[in-house]
Order: sequence, then structure tokens, then C-alpha cells
Amino acid sequence: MPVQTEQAIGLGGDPTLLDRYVPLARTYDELFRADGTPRDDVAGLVAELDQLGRTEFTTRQKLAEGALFRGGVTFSVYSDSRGQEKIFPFDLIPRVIPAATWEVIERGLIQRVTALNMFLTDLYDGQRILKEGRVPEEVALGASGYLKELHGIRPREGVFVNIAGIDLIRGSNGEFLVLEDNLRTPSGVSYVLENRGVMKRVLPGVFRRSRIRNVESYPAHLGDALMSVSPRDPGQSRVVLLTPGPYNSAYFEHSFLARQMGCELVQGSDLFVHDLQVYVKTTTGPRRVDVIYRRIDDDFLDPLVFREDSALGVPGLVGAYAAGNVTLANAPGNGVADNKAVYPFVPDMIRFYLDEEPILGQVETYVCARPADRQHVLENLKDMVVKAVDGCGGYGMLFGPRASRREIAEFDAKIRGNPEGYIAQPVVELSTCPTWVEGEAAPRRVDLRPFVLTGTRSWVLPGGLTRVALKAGSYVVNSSQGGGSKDTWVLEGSVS
Amino acid sequence: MISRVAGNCFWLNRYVERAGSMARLLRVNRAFVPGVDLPHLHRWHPMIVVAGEEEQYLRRFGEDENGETIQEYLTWDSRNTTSVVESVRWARENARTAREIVSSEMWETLNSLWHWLQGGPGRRLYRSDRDHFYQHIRAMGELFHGQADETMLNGEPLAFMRLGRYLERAGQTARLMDVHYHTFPDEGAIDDPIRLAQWSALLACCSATEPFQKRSFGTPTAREVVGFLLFEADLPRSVSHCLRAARHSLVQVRGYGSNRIGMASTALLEALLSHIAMREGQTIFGVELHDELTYLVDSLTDLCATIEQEFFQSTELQAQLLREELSAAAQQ
Repeated sequence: MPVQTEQAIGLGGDPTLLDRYVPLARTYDELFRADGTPRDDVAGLVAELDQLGRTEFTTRQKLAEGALFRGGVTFSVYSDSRGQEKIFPFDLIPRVIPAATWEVIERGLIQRVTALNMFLTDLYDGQRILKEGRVPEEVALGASGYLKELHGIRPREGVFVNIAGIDLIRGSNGEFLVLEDNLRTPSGVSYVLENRGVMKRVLPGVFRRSRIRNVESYPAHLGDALMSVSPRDPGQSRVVLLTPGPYNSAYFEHSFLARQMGCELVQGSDLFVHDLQVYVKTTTGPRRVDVIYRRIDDDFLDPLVFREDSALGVPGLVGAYAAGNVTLANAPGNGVADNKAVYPFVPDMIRFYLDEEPILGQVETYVCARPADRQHVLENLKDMVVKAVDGCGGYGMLFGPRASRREIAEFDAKIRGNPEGYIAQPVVELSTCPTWVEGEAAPRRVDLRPFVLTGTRSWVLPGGLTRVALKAGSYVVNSSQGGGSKDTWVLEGSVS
Repeated sequence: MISRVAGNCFWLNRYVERAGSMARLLRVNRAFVPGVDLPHLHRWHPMIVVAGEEEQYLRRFGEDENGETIQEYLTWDSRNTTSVVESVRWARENARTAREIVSSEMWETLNSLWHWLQGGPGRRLYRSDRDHFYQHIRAMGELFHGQADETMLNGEPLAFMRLGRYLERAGQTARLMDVHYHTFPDEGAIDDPIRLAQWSALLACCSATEPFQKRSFGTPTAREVVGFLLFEADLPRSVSHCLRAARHSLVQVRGYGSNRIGMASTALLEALLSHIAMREGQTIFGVELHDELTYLVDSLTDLCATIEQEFFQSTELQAQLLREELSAAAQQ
């Protein structure tokens, strides 16, 4: 349905929001077709936003930012209390996913997480998949996240990945592809919930008239998933959330989730291990702990097993875990499954363990350790995205089309010197979504991080964190590098 | 509750109380100083002394006893751990750390006070209408404590908050009263008009002017004011009232569990309460009053350190309790 002429002027003769919006060429836009008309599922929403007008919209955008700031929904990269706190920039124009599209994503995510859990269970036990040659042994056992100390330990219910954040992108044909798996301590869900709360407050009308699936049940689902893998009777179990502390950039999220779940937020120094049991120090004496939703990295968990200098962890924690007396969520050792060198083999894991074809595609990947792949990568560096296999957060990568000749030469040398350390992917034209920048709706690239919770079964949060690259032309959505976020609306199935 | 988090609750409230007290003191002194003929040194110097900052201040500013320098130091200086800004900073850090415990209302009040101080509006008001500036800080402190009582579950976290609030307040009232000694260090007529004017100002600091008038008619005497601020059980900021309120919270906290944790703190607090009860009705002035107030401040410092040891930093005690519990279970 094209925008009608009478909607081109908003309330009070104010210019409308989206009438001058021009999608980028050769790029999929979340809300508009290439000819500039809104997609069918979002036409109603586009009309609603248009009717608000620019002035009103700007006012509400400011309201939203004020609410996030006052609430302390701030993001600080290891700043101290004197450092500037900023809100994670939030854009009021939502990203919308129709019900039918979401249904496929949901099935695809559950399939993928199921296979990854089976892979981890197998890798830390019989290693059937290595023996049958479906994943090269040197890739899996050489990956930085593989922890040989944990071989033979099977977590409760065989669930290694209780909380997964699977990053999806959308190529120019609109197909959703998995860009990477985050299976250790994925973050961002608190922004999904806070953004939704703000959205409802500042655009109540628009929100009410669109039929959107709720995200507010996430903390309850998380609590259920954690409780279902407790080593003790859930009625007696104590769940805690273990944080590195208030100077961690994600501390807001740790605190938010603990508050929403109604569990205690603890630091390493609040816990101690006695006789392979974990206890928390309380004002009424020590109390046993059964499930730890830990948001500190493997390396820092237990100075007796991993980094000796870790002041964040708990001496003896891994021993208690190995004895089956405490559940760690996510399980230690997951890093091997979200390692970028292992990523190319995930579709094969799905085929191997589930005997199914992958529902979600993923980005074509060249493994520089393979001579043929390496050759291709080195010959086409200017069209490639090169990533260090254990890098994250958008650091340590080469974005070929925008790189200088020197940067290309630098990566050429790095790859030749350490081929196992790199993978490369062709550039994917990430989809765009209209985003309010300097008083104008402009196309900006987005990705999507949905969250998958697994206890005795899996559940996918309908929506997820849409991150947006706020700089024109940028492909980097990471919050540490100038990215912002949007509310993600998964629409209810159609009634008819 | 988690020992460390109980500490956050306790300190959060101490810092908010401390910021409010400092704002009260500075505001009242601004009103008191211009109206009386005092030697220059005795106008603002006592503020520095009762804040416990004499040494640091002398080192940084030497003989500069200018009221502006002192107010700037006690309000804004980040090197001064007792300045208003530092108290608010640390209150907010404690609240942020225990964010899952502190109610959203309290957090938003504290967060907006912090941003107000950090950003332009607080500074501008400090320059244009300082009275109003201090008044705002004090009012935000009162709002915060009111919100604690109105928006928190009446459970252990609130009990620790109130414990911190009242112990800090008892100490602050004692410090405030000691301003008198440092302003008039020489012996003299105790009911001298200038001295009485300061006692009235100190009553105002403690929001006690109107309550005092309700209990005492006619021209106030120093004896009545001192007795009122130390012993009046119905005055929210009197030492006696604060200690009783602290006892109430400590009893509540201990009611949640182990008998072992809090024994030493309780003994200290009870001793202090007996001491106050014994002193009630006595006339205390001059050096003797100064010594009494010093004793109170020191005893409160000891008590808070013991609470810290018993409740918040209890690693050894915890391990010992666990061993006892496990061996008792094994014997059964």
C-alpha cells in the first residue's frame, strides 16, 4: 500500500517522518521496498510514524533518552565513577519482523543451539565427530576456547549452552544468515527489555495499534531454565548471578537481570567453596548455592584451575562443578563452539547430530588454514572481511573495501604468518532500517541478536537486540564502536 | 542477604546522610556568620574542624580562611572525602552496586542528584543562589530517606539502610554541636547573646527550631538546647533518638538469623545507650561538652568498624560458622 497523499503532512502541518526516505541501492531495507514504498506488513506502522510528524517525533526521542539516562541505563567501557556515562544510543524507529519470517528464525535457532549443545557434549566426551572426520581435530582441539581440563565433565541435562545470543544479519536478498554464535556470556538482553519499556511509554499509541509479541517474560523464562538444571530439588535451590563487579561495562545488565529474576547478584569474593560445595556469605551465615548464572569469562572463574591472578573468581569453583554440586550457566569450555574457526563446520554438525538440513544459512567462510581457501583470500583481500579467530567486539578485523593499501598489506602478512589465526568472509551488504539521524530518517545498517534459553527445553525470546551502525555507510554495529540499538518488533500471527 | 550487599545498603545511607548534614551545616553557617561579630578565624574554620579535615585543609590552603574557599572545599572538592560531591558520588556508587536491592525511586532520586551536581544546573545554582543550592541537597536527602521507608520491603536491606542512616546521623549531630566549642574556645558567659544565636543556628541545622519551641517557651538557654539535641527522645536528629532507632534496626537485622553475627556490635551499642542514659539530665558545657561529643563520635566510629567486621567483611567468621554447622550435622 503506497503512502497516501493526505498522510504526507503530519499533525500541525509538520513535515512527515519518512516521506523523503530513500533506501540504499542493492541493499535490503527492513521497512521499505526498493521503490520507496513501505513493505506490506509495516505499512500501518509507517503511516502511524508519519502522522506523528518530525517535531513530535523529535520530542519523543528526547523523552526516551531522558528516561534511559535517569534510569541509569548507561553503558561505560571500563570507566571509573568519574568517567562519562552515556546511554547506549536508542533509536525510536522500530525494526519489524513479520510472524511468518520469525517462525522460521525461531525453528532455525533452536535447531542450531541443539546441534551446538550436542557438539559440546560429544567434544568433551567421546569425540565421535572428530573420529568420523566431520570436524578436523586440529581445528576443534586447537581452538582457544577448548579447555582440556574439563574433558569428561558433563553438565546437568547435557546442556552446555543455557543462554545463547546468535547474531543474525540479512543479505541483499533479505535472507537471514547466522553471522556468529555467542555461547559464553552473551550480553544485551537488558537493553531489549529497557528499550521496550521506554518505547511503550513514549509511543503508546503506535505501540498499542501494532500487534507485537511481548519480551517482558524473558527473566521468568531465564529463571525457569536455570532452575531446571539445578543439581538439587528446585524448591530448595538457590540461584545467583555472578558478576565481575560494578566496573564491568555490562554491570547494569547483571544487576537488571538479578533484579528481574529475583535472585542475588554476587561477586567472586561473596562465594567460597568448602568440601566441593559452593556457599555464599550472608548476614545470617553461609548458605549453599546450586546454580550460578555466571557473567565472568572462563579464564577468570577459578584461580586454582585457570588464571592464578584472577581476583574475580572463586577458588575451587571448577572442582565443585566437576563434582556435580553446582551448575554453571553457561558451562565452562563453550568457547570452542563459538570460535570463528569452528563456525564453518556448524552446518555439518547439524547434519551430523540431527540428520537435518540447516534451516538458517550462514555466511560463506574461507578458512585460511586450508591452502586453497588461503590462496583465494589473499588474492581477494580488498573484497573480504578478515577476522581473527579469537577476536570479538569488531576488533582485530579487516574490512577489505574500506581498508587502506597498508592495512591490506598488514593483513596479508598476518595471514601468511599465522594462517590458523584467521578466517575470511565475503562482504555481506547488511540490511538497513530507517534511523533518525540529525533530524532525518536515513538508512542505517542493522543486525539482530536473538536470545535462546535452554533448560530441559529451548525457548527463543520473540525479538532480540537490533543493533544499528549510526555512522553513514558503516557496517560496524558494536556498541563499543559507535553502534546504537532499536526495539525489535515481532508481529503476532495474522488473525485471518 | 549477601554480606557485601548489606554493606552497600549501610554505606549508601551513611553517605546520603553525610551529604545532607554537610549541606545543612554550610547553609546555616552562611546565615549565622554575617549577623554576628566574630573574629575572622572563628567564622568558617570550625566547619573544617568538625569535618575532620583540618590537617588536609591546612596542607592545601594554608592560612586561607576565606569562607568561599572553605565552602568550595567542603562542597565540591574531590580530594576531600567528606565533601558533598564525594558523599553523593559514593552513595551513588553503593546504590549502583546494589542496584538490584535499592528501589527504583531511590535510585532515580540519587542518580538525578548526582547528575545535577555533575552537570551545569548544580554549579549554576551554587553561584546564583547558594542558600537554595544547599536547601536542594538537603531536600533530596530527605526525599531519599522517605522513599527508602515508603518504597522498600520492610526487610533486612531496609534495616541495614536505617542502621547506617541513624548511626551516621548520631555522629553528625555530635559533630554539629561541637562547632560551638570551636567557635567559642574560650570560657565565657554561656548565655551570652552571640553564643545563644549560634545555638539557635545549630538547632536550625538539625531541623529542630520549631520542635524546640514546642517544648520550651521564652528565650532559650544553652542548657536547654544542649539537652534537647543530645537527649530529646522525640527529636528525629537527637543523639539519643538516633541511637535508639539504630538499636531497633540492629535488633531487626539480628532477628533474621545467626545469633553469633552482631554480638559485639550489639554490646557496643548497648554500652553507648547506657552511657547516654546516665548523662541525661546533667548539665554539660565547654570543654566537658567537647570531650563528651568527642567520646560519642569516637564510640560511633568503633561501632561502625565492628559492624563492618561482623556483618560485611566476615570471611573468617563465615568459615567458622560453616565448620560448626557441618560438624553438628555430622554428629546427629
